[in-house]
Amino acid sequence: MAPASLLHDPLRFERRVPPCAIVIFGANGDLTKRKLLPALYRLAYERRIPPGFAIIGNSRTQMSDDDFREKMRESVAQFLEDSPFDAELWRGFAQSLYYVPGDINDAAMFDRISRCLAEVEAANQTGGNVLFYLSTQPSYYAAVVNGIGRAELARGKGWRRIIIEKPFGRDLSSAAALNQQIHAVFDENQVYRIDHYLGKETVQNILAFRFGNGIFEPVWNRRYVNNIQITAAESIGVEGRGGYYQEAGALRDMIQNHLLQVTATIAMEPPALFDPEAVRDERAKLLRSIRIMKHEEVPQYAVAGQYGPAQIGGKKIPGFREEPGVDPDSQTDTYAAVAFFVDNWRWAGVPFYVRSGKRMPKRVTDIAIRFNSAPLSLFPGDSEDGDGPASRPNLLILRIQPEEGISLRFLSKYPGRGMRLRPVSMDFNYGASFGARSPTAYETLLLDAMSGDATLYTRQDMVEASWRAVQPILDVWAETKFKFPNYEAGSWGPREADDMLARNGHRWRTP
Amino acid sequence: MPAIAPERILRDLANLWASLAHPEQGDVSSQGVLRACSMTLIVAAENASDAVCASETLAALMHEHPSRAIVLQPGPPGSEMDAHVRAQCWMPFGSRQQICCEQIEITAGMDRLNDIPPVMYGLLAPDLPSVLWSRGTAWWEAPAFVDLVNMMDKLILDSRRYEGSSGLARIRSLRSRGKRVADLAWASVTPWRELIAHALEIPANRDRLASTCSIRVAGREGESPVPALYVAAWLKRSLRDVAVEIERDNPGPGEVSRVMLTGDGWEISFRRTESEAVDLNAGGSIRTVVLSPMDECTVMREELSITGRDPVFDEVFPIAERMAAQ
Repeated sequence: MAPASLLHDPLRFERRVPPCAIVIFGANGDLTKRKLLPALYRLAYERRIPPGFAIIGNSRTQMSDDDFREKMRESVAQFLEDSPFDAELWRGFAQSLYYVPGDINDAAMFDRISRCLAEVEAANQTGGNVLFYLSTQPSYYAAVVNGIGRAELARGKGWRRIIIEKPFGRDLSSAAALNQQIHAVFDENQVYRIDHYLGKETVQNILAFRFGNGIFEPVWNRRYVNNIQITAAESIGVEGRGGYYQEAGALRDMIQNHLLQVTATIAMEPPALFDPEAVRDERAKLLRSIRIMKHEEVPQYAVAGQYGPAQIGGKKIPGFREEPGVDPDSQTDTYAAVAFFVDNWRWAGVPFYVRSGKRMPKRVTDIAIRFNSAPLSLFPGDSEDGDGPASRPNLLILRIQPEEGISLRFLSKYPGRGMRLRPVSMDFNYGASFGARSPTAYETLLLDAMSGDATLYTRQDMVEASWRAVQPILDVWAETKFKFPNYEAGSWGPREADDMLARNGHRWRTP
Repeated sequence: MPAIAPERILRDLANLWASLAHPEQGDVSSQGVLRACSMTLIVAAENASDAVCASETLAALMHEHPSRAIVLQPGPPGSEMDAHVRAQCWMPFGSRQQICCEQIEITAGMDRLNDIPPVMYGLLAPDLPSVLWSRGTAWWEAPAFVDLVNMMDKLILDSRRYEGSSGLARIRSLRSRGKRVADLAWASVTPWRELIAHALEIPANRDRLASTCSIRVAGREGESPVPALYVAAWLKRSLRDVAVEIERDNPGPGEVSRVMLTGDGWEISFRRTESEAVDLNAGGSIRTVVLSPMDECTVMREELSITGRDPVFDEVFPIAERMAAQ
């Protein structure tokens, strides 16, 4: 071993992040203000990014460096989560913020960015390392990538990487086309497709839970697991983003990306080692194992919903079609539920019920693994189709938000005479074991990209496999005239979703 | 029989949590408290004032390492064993729920220290790691100390608190019994080691490393020699055939004052200029680096985050001990 590598001490040394410049396209947008800058500021607050670090913002709005700094200061102060805003630290941080205004279709703008990068490299000793961040509308991705390519910014003295926000296309063919456009400029190992769900501590903890413990893996298969339910519910509506959401819908916005990535993390095989490619290979393999529905099977395995108006807590809640910017005859799914099947030896026959919706009774994201009931009913009133204990099978619940933790439901004897059984819950709460603040998903993912760790980023084959899994549903829904709205705001979704599970003898749990 | 029973302390703890769960009437904003515990951390304090210092550190540590903390405080000979419980609480930024850890404070006369281990057996948080933080020598001669060590998963001490490098002999003796022993003096040099490792990673410096002829590490007069010894031993581990000298500089800020690597026609030096500032000089190019301050809480936080083996320290320690003996 070389002497220099012997000096490493991964147990004690902070992960080394090399100096670099981050170029954010769409720097005047919501994502930059709400997520990216607060995350970068917090990393600076924790001294986790190196001193030779710079941010170059770009958008069409004409602003000076100082205007940009002031705008970002307001955003960071407003949107910083779980941390106080330190004005003194901000002054130092703001010195590394630069702004280059201009249209992304204007080649001269990329030349100006190139000059700015050269100045930053000389002043901050970034070694030519550049991370591009596409925080623009998806329709501009190709233009930005082309501009970077034309200005020869995708190659340089140091490393060059690009982070691309979802959605990666609108369907399988547009995703493939986008990948082709990106690959005309960047190699796949330079591309970091962000799915912020994978950066959540609790989603990462699924890997620790499954592969760091010996007791769960033996039962993590079709012999013991009856079905898996993944729920991502929001209590809010479209919050002024009706125009955008109308083009997306729940299936595209949540299931195709976030929830299928969570499904892959729950169901993948153990990787041979904890290495970015090994982990991503297993995720990709799982996504490729999802059974592709035939068009005629879609009504049986997928349900679309759209919320209608309701009165909640004395307040009138508008239906989706009444939201500003939404077509009064909109066919957009604000709710989607899909029964996926994974055709491999571990999961054959086990349904993965995945649902996501807006205007649900509460905000919750969790994964529930329902185990098979005991093979024999010993106790009075005990039958799987009745109301006895057997109808309350063991449930393992991985709670992603808002109360991060893990619960195991099992049956226990009710105190007193007789053998009366009641379900009880054994809870692990993140806050109770680890008092420390968890980094936000964007802090984790930005640091990973700067360090060159792509474990939590999605790869081209993963993106295309997940589009392939939902494409038949998109095709059929595009041809269907739904009788929307079909669920009331504040409910758990349309009756058809309950019927879908009932056909398999299952029912949705209430998160 | 111990003068106090673990059951009584556990009952007091239960009452404490019950009182925290039912706040003052009229406090409608309260959302109760979250009880946090990831280990048992026993602190063997030197005396009453040391126990107060330790409690302050524990309060800061609980943000990242919530524990059932048990502070053991030796009292005057003949004094009875006594125990009190209290909670250390904090409110995370932006949260409306306090996170609380429990702390047990046990005082016993020096002649009654042997009564403590049986009480400890009943007080360890079940199925969680247990760590003993020994803050001085007061306990070392008591047979009770061995019993305490034997029930722990990890022992943390600070060799800088002992005369010269005598703390290393104590660590060796405990390690030879198969115990996992950590030294806060080792954690205190992490920023130095990190700085050196990163500087030597730069390609121009890395290429020179193989031709290193000598290494000089200087500690401060009047400070513990152990941190400088550890830095020297750590470099020796990587550059086995290179001569390593340990020197002493005049009193000044910090325990390690200087590290120099010399080769044929080149020199890389790290020289502390102020308390946390180090000038890095590689081939005439000088830059100043600010090291993270390593106060007691920071080094403890680092040690508590390592629950398993520490392979680098395991290899460095015997080298440091050999160097100390020379």
